[in-house]
Amino acid sequence: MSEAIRLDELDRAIVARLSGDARIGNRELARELNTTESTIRVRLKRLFELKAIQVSVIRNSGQLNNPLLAYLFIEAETATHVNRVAQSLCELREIGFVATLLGRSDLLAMTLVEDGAKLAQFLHETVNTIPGVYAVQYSWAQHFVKHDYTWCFIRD
Amino acid sequence: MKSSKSSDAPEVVRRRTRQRDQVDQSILTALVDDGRRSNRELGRVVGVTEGTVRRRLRRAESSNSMRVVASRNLKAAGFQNMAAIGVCVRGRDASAVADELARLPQVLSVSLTLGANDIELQVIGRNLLEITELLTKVLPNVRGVSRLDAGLALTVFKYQPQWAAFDE
Repeated sequence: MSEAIRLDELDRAIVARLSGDARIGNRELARELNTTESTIRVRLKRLFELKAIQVSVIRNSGQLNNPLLAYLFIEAETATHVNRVAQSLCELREIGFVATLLGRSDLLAMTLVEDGAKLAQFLHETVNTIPGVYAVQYSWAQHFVKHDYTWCFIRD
Repeated sequence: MKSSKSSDAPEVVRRRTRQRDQVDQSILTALVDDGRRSNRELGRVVGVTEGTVRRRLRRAESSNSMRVVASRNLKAAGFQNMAAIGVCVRGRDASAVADELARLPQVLSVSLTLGANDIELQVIGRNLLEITELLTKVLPNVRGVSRLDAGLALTVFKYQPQWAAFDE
C-alpha cells in the first residue's frame, strides 16, 4: 500500500490553479501565488515525480452530437482470463476506464462514443472479439450528471 | 500552414470540433503526451509556428471544446478504494436523486442510466471502512435511493477520462 503524499498549502494552491488551466506558465503562476518562479519549478518537479498529479487533455462531451457513455460489465471465460482481458481492454483507445471488480462482474470498462450506431459497432466488432471475454452486460447513460476530473488514478 | 481567421460562429465551431483539422489534432496529441510543454515546443513538435499554436489553443479554449487540466492522483492522496455502484431509485425523480448524489465529495461520477439500474456511481474511499459507511449510511439516507448494487474495484487498470461535460 502506498503512503499518502503530503501536500502543503503552496502545493495545494498550485494544484488548484492548474486544475482549472494547466497551460499557465510558471512565471504567471509564481506571480499569482506570490512566490518565485524557481519555487514553482521545484514544487512542480516534485509533484510530477511523485506522481501526485498528472496533466491531461479533457474534451467537452457537450459538443458531441449524441454522446453515449457505456458501462460494460464483463465476465471472463475463466478466472485466469481476467487480467489478460483487462490488459486487452486497456490497449483500446476508446476505453477510458478499466477495473477488475469484486461483485457485479469480473470487470468493468467504460467507453464514451458519439452515437448508438458507433457503440454497437464497437461492442460487436471490438469488445466481443477479445479473447477470454465470455459475456458482456451493458448499461448506458445519455445524461452525465457529474464527472470530477480534478481526480485521476495513476498506476504504480 | 496558415491558421484560419478568428471569431468563428458557434455552429462553425461545433462542426470544427467534429472535423478537427490535422494541425489541431497534432497539437492535441502533443498535449496528451505532455500537457505542460510550452507553445514553442508544441510548435516544434507539430511543425508550425509558436503563434499558430497559441491561436489554435486559444480558439479551442474559447469554443470550450477542450481543456488542459491537472488532476490529483487518488492513490497519492491516500484513496485506496474505488467502487462502482448501481443505484435503483423508487418514489422520487431519478435526476433529483442524481443531483443530490453528485454533491457528495466521495462521488467521482454520476450518470443516469438505462439498464438494470437508474443511476451509476463511481465512488472513492480512503479505506474499506469509508466505502462501508457510504454503502450502509450515506447513500441509503438519500431520499429515493432504494437498492444498491456495489462492485468493489480490485485493481484499477486504467482511469483516463478523455471526455467530460463542462460547466459553462
